[in-house]
Amino acid sequence: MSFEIFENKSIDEKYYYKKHKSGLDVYVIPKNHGTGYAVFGTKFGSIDNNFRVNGEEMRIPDGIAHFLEHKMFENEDGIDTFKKYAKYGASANAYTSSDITVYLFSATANMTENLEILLDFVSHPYFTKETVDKEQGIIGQEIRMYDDNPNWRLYFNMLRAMYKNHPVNIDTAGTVETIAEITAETLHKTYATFYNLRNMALCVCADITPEEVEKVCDAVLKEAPELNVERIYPDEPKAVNLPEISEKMQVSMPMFAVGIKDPVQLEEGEALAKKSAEMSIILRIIFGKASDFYSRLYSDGTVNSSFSAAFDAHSAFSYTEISGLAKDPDKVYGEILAEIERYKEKGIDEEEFNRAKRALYAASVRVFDSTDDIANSFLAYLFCGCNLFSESSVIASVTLDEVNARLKTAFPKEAFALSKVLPLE
Amino acid sequence: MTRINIADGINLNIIHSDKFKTNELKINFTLPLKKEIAPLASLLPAVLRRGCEKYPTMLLFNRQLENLYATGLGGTSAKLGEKEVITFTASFLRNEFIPDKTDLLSLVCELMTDFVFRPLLEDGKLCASYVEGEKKNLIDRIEAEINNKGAYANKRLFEIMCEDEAYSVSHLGTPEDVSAITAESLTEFYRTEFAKAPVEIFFVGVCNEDEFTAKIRQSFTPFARKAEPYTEDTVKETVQKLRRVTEEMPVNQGKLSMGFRTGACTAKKNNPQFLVFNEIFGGSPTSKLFENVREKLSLCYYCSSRYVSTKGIMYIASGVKVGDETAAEEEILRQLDAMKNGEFSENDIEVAKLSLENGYKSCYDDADKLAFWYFARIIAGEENASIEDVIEKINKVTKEEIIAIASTVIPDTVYFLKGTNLDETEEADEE
Repeated sequence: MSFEIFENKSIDEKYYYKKHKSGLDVYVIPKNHGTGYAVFGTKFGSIDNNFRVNGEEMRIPDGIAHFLEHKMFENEDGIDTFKKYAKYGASANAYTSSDITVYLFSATANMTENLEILLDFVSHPYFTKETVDKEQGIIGQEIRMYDDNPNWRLYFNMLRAMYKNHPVNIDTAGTVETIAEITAETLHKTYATFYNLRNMALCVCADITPEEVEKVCDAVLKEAPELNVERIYPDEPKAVNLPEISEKMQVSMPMFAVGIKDPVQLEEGEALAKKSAEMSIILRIIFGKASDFYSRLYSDGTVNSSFSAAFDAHSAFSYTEISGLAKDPDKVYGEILAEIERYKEKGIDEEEFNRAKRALYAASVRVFDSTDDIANSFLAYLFCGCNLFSESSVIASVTLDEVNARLKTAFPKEAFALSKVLPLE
Repeated sequence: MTRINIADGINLNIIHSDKFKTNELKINFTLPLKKEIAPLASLLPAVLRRGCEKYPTMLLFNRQLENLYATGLGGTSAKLGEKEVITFTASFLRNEFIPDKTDLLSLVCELMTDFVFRPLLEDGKLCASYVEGEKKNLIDRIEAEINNKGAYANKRLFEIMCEDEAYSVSHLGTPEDVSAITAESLTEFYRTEFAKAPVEIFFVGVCNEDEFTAKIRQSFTPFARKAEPYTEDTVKETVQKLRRVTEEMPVNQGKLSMGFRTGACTAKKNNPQFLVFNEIFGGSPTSKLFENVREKLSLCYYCSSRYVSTKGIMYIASGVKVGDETAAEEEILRQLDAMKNGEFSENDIEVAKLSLENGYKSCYDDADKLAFWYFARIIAGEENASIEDVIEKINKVTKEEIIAIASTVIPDTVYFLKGTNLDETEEADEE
């Protein structure tokens, strides 16, 4: 079976897709950039702590996805993965978010050699008691570093305020206590579940042919057993957990993040893509840099250029985040609530709708400027059942009526939470 | 790259690239890094961004940008060695990707000159309310630097290490100096120093070179200026005595910043050799510092070295657990000694060269990086430099040269930002 081609002619981009015989979904996006970029990811993040695999229910320690990501870089032959890449001039990294773990590299040469390293180390786990113990020290430092980071605290407190039961309210890295529960055995069990190739995807964005990519997959990957993972999420009320969380830290100016929990939490594919496009249009109109709101509050010094509003769409949870720095966060919060009410009453007009759509169209094209953005976004969209290459047409398909209908339901009063980080003393 | 003189003191640099969906236009004004100039230079672009003659309010300005397919437009100032550079940037979709066939390239060129050269004036001066508003924002920004502890530690390091050199000056200025600015003094700066600053225009993207040059020539010729040639940064080659400063802050993690003099290596002398040395020593995740201080001894979460080539300075930044700072410093210095003794392999050199080559080649994929790299070479007096040349020179560096370079590195200042929250946490843990 050969690769399928998907093309978006208006932006002059295409990709190739094939389900590899190992069970892995393989995507190749040809691009003539000097830097090739490859991402190999699993749909497994910090929220996946309770699930049923082939009928058996499992619960795993908080922070294990991130811990596992760190440990994957060690190999049985004793050679560190970074060293293997370094031999072929690649620059490598990995990250863990709430719902995905991604291993990646970028390279200006030797794409196939580097791809082989990527596929090889991620498909060969190696953990011992000693290496696990040592990692607890390193991650302990990383957690401390995050504890000192006001942006992270602000963001995380916003999630904690919004979500009462949903595991997105757990710190990605876990805590010193929860990672202490992690053993080589729990790592192996977790790996066997979520690093099954049928739960993963490879996306290569480079000057490379699909056949070259397939050849590397053939050489490294073995067929994965059938997998049936059912993620278990606790019931999440429509109302927020706490209306407000405030923390004092060493900062010069108060920071705020307003979280608005989306009424629908489990949603993927087309419905999610559409919701995301509609919400982006709404937020751009009400709170974007060309909005009345921003212009008024910036001019009178209530907010500064750090102000932003965005919709974060995921298949297991979605929310709006409006954040920035301000001397008086409570005042800004009041203004935000009032502006949303004002728009709910008056609705969005055609002129502002068209302007926002035009701007979002441009943003959806701009993603294709860098192989890094393309590959990372592609994977994030994919794991939500969406397609990066269709984004511009999804935006184009949104109508003014749909946006006005969404505006009425997207901001229920009980769904608002405020997180603040205030200066000490 | 094509480099064309447009008018006195104004050059246009065109980098053709069809890799991007967007074009990028940048205008750089170069000023000396000075305490008197810094607050003005960092305030000016923010004031200009508030409104111009044609779009006098932010709302009108931003609506126009949104209509122009969300063209990004902004101005910032940055410290580049002992110079301060004000850069105005426009980033916009290429004409081919615009559904309604607007000639965005032409519209953005005009918008750029409106933005930079035709500000909104009141009684012949920059608008006072914009000046006051942006002064507040700038002061907030300066005070916010403390939020990023790592960057704050590095800033303190340079203030202490380079106290007699221009390099100690923060390009943003101090809150006191920003407070003292008035609409008069900023307008005066705009009409004198700023009006004399040499201009380097960069375009990265797709254009018809002749038509575009003609357009730029027409737009910019009225702003020709008598500009001084670029000066070289001062380089201190010796160190009298190692300085050590510790300051406290109520945070969990300590930040250790160490400054070194590399007088024998600067942007013009032994630069490729130093780049390879730095890459092996602390410039990458396979470096000696990362491997030993972080991986083997778990003394820190990050530990890396960077090189300020025009100043002949190398600095090491690391995040360490309080109490481990002496051990971390000792290990860092031990690794430096190991470099001086040639304790690294041919493979280490190969890997470092590949990593550098990878980094340089990747500049071609990032319009900002590409324009910045060429700009930095121009103001360092190397107009004819090219990325290919640098890669070639890097690949010729030998082990003997790296050892020789390593032995010129002298520690100057050790700065430690000591977190004072740790005791409380540890006591709490014991209960």
